[in-house]
Amino acid sequence: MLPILTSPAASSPAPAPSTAPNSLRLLSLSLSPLPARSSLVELGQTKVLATLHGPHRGDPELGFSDEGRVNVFFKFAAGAAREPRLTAAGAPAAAPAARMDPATEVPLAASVREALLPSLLSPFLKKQQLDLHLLCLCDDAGLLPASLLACSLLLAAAGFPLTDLTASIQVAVHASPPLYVLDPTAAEAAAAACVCTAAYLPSLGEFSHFEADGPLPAAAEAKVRRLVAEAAGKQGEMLRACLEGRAGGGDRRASFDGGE
Amino acid sequence: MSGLLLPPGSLVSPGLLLCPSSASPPSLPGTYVTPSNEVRCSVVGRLVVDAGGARVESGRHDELRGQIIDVGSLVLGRVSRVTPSAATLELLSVSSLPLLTPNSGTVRLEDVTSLLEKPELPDCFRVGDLIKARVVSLGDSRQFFLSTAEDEVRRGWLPGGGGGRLRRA
Repeated sequence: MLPILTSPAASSPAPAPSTAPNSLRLLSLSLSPLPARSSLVELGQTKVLATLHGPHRGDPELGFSDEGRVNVFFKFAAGAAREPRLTAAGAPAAAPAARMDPATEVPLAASVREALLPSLLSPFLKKQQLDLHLLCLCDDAGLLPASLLACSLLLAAAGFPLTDLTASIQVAVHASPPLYVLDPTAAEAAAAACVCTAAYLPSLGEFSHFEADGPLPAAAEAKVRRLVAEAAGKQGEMLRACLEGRAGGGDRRASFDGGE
Repeated sequence: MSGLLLPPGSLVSPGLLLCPSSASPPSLPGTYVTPSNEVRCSVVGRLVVDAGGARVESGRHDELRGQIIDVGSLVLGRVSRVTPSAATLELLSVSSLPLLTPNSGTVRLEDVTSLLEKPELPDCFRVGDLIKARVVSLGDSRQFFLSTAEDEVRRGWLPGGGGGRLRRA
């Protein structure tokens, strides 16, 4: 059980998270049974669909390289929006659902590719390229982690050689009192002082990506990294269960209620 | 094979440790060697140990690898353009597996035959011909460089005697 880290002298209570701070949302992984090569990851209410195209001839404008290249493209589905938040009484919130910002598509794709690079054995492709297309069907925070899980699952299932599977977690950090919320929803992330997103290679024990969108003291960063390493181990086990179950001819869906 | 940490027949996935760190780590298909000389699995599959050694057997990986065109691959292509110096091919298959995405290759005059007397390319190839060739170089960003000089890939043409036109076998 992961400990809830709080300061003993709290001046004002932090906003109560809708889920337990040290638990992950329900994670569902699905692989297409067809050779179409696609995967669907549902992280709580965040849903990302990934498809693979290639290997194909590289773009001549990018110049010649005898090593392969993996390209990542990210799009929000037409009409995709955050699901309306339910109030305590269970009725939909009065405010309309927030729309996704298309301006974030390119930076997200770049972040996904940067986080995937350490796990790719790209020279396998020679001078050809693979395209990963990500489609966000619904966003309730955790978009980058869901995208990374979908890409890693898809590449491994398609037979692409990897150094390790990529697990990814977001952590919302509240300043006062210090509180760390794993895998926050959009509302929890909005209320936090800083949201950290990390990608972790569980078997190798290495971080492939770490970013924070706010001020993060060094001590807090160390705690966040420790929390991510512990939680990423569970995600890694789930990814393996999904892949090995499929390879063994079993169910290619796996669901995980990321409890304590 | 000694040194394997997992029993033969195990389902494995990328990142799993197969052999601990050693001075001379073995190179096994479906695995890679880390900077600390550990052998770890790189694909999803089953660990197989037989007379040929240990390897990770993965149908998906073999399918994907079948789409990779590398130096030494045997390809089948359709001639799309012929010039006095080169013939351009639209590649259809590699190692008898159909290519799912288009690629192109070039057979240069010097790679058509190993004979000293080079033929004229329009006498050897016509647009629409199906050609077997060997990849000799990754080429540039647009095409691979191919060769038909090997006996195995020769299209069956014979050089005409006395300087006459080439005829096919």
